[in-house]
Amino acid sequence: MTIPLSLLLSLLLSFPVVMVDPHLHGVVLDHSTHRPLQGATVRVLGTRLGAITDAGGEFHVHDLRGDSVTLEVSMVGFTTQRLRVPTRGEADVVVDLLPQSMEQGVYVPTVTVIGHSSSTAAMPSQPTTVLSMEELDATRGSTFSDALENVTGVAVMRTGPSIAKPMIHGMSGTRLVLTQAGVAQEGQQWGEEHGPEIDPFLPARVTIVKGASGVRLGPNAMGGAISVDPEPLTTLTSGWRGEASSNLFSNALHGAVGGWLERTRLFDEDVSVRVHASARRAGDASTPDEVLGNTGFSAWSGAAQLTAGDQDLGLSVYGSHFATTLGIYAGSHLGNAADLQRAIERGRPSTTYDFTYAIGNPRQEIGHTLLSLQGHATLAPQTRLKVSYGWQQNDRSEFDKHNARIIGRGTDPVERARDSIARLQRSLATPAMNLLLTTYTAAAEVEHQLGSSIQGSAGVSGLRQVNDRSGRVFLVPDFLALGAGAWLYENYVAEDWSVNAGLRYDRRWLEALQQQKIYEGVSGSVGAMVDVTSDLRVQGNLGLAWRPPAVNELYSNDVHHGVARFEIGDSLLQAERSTGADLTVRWAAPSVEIEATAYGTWFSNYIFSVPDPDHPTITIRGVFPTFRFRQTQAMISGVDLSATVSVTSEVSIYGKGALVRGWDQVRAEPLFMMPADRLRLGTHVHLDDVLGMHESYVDVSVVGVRHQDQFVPGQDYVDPPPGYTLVDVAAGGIILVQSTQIRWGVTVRNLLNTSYRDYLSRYRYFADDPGRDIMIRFTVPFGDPP
Amino acid sequence: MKSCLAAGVVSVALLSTSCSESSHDHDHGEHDVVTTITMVLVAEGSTDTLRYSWDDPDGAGGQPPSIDTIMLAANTVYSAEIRILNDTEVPAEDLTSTIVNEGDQHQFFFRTSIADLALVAADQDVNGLPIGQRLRLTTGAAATGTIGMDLSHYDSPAAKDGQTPSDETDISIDFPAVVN
Repeated sequence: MTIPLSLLLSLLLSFPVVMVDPHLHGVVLDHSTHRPLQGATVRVLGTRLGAITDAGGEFHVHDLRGDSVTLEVSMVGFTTQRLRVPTRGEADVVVDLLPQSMEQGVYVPTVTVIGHSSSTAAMPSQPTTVLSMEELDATRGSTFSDALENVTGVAVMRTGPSIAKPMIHGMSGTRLVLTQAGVAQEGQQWGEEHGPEIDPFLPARVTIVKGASGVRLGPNAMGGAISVDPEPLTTLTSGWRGEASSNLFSNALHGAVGGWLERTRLFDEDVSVRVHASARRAGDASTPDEVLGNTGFSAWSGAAQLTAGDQDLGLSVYGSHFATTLGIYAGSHLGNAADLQRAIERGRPSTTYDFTYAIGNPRQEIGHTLLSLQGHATLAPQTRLKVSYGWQQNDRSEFDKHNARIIGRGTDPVERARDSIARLQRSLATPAMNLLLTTYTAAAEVEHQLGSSIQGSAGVSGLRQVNDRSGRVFLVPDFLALGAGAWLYENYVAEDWSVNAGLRYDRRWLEALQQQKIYEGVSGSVGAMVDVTSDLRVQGNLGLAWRPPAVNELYSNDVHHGVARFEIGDSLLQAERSTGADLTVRWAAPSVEIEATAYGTWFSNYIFSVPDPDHPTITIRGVFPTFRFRQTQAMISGVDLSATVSVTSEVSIYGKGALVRGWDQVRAEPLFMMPADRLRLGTHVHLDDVLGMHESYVDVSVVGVRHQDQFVPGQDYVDPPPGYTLVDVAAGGIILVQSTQIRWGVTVRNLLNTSYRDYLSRYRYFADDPGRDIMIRFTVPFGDPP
Repeated sequence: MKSCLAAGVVSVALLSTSCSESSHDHDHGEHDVVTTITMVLVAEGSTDTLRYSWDDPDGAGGQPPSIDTIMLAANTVYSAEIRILNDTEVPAEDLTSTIVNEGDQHQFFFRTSIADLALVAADQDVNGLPIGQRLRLTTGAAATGTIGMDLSHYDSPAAKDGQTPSDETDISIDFPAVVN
């Protein structure tokens, strides 16, 4: 006879006298309405335990250890709340205790979720992952995108160690929207070697939404959305605090420092400010066998945030600047397609490079400045107006490695020689391509509540964008784009299910090369979430999304040197449209948590570039394969799977896997550059107190990536690389030094220094991916306790 | 330009970017573009000069290049020279001397589909390695095919060994050729 463990536990727990209670029971309420919140995620920090609140806002967490735990409560649309909760006794209770569930003899903390709606992109039923500051702390890497790689279903396209571009469910670039401080980031997303311009040290919370998010974010949010929101700045309590962090990476002898400082209730008014700054410098990265010449980079970033007012009327101003200089691997800059073929056949760089911090050409210099204003006002009970305004400028310069001949002008030989040197110096300082993209965005929305169970929002938004290019490389033209959109969505919450629906219309005007184009489209979504039992939740969505063609897809007409291709745009391309469906099943029993998502996205007018072998481009530098942008019917489908099993209260094992398949339905062949099948298996050991440290953990995992066998032979210069297996190890915790909780962590990536090439690495043609990297992280908080 | 004002007020220290929507300049830079390669041939014992050009004045893409067919006599030795020109300037600029002056960082490699045709460099850089700007052609029996040349650029003279092309090809072109 087997008695379910949970049943046994609850039998034990129903004795009020049992104080060694490993079970926590709570309720999550909306602070402004005091209504229970269904679907909030409750996690026990430092462990893999967690729960989701039911229709009554209640949650249960089992198998707790220690005297107290730190809970993190998050929900789409609300500010994440973190609080320390005793698991036994009454000491050090940091939250109100409401005796609501005395029948179980358990203290019930009321988790007050403040009604600061965040600028999130998700509909309530969409698969969403929120990375808190602590999680970002533990997964932070060289680039912002590194922290996203652990999220199931997210892959990262890399151009060396300094450029990483997130890909959600096989979609990246102009098929994703990334927002920072509520403003969609507008950079040169079309380039595979253009990463998001965001500082990994930013004190922020990152929300990853998988699936079409067009209703909330408008065009381009086909594959999903990533929103980077500054940590909320309270105006309720007075104090000052900050954090200083340092990250050191062994592979590229990369060092980074960052910190932030905040002062809340300045002059005892409803005004709070925070400033942030960081700087980093990395030298050349190394594969297990050699140095990757000219892959160093440097970056600095600064941000300031001011929040004034209260829940009923408030304004938040956020400004940031991010600047970076990125070296591009010297061996990747090739004269023509024959050079690339030779580099591939040789299998390794022609030169041996020595490690250096110096960054030579080819290189990118990028600055991104953002100013965001967000205001809110309560118009009537249960009706809120939110307005936002964003100004941003993305300044990108790309410098080529070596220049065509330069000769001096003039009649006198000395004069000629001087002129030639002056021209050479000017030439090295002049980018082959400079792009200055300025974007203004504005939006207004009214959040409303109808009756007791319908919540929603209606809004309008506008955009003005100007691109100014210079230089001799012609991948995108000057352009002016205007956009306008309007949307409405509602969410109905019943006892143990909810449904939501939304609709949005957008129009885009584009003026480039004396051509004027108008694109328009409808985004829509319908979603539902059902709690079948208290352990089992099923949620599903249908979504319509679209995007106008990107300017490079319309007008590119030059050699793209990184890929040794001549790319020709098609100015007659139509808007790309997609219909997506996803279904997520989440089962969260006391010691087992399983989440599985299956999805499919069907595209009409899917834009991609296709080789035109009959018309190679003959140039004086040789023959380049010609690629033309075309449209097709396509489908991308896949499965995300994650599971955690708690073996004991200290030890859990977990697995995360993702499968993606892309299919061109017209040509009946696989889509190019889909992530290979990936599975990570690991074990996580959590110890509350060991050797004077708190919340310590050790995590060992193995990631296996299969050979990408879905490809068209001969389409690429070389077939996809073989699969690989890497071992990663991480450890960390909190050290108390005179009551200061110093967070530390050590992560070793690629512990065994395995040589491998990832299919999504753009250097796969001629170089291995980086070898072992040991990362050491420290974060020292100071000031008043939170 | 309200945003500029706001940006200035809010965080003077942080926002270094000017609020202009246009970047620095539209000068297309200092680069000298190669548009034209001319092969100048003189048969041994003759004073007639033959000129054959590979010409792409509008650069990569756009109009295809115009390419002459090299006409050679059978069983003849030619001394030849390659001239590298920028036709976009008026008058056309001759970039040949810069290649020769940096001869230790450049080399022409030749190839041909005609079995009975030899192309051999007739010049040397300061290290005694061939440059190939001047060369000797020796024809045999009548044939039809192509003559191609690749100009390799080396980052440093140490990388040049006289035999191995670099991964940075400055010029890579093919001429149709007839020997009769």
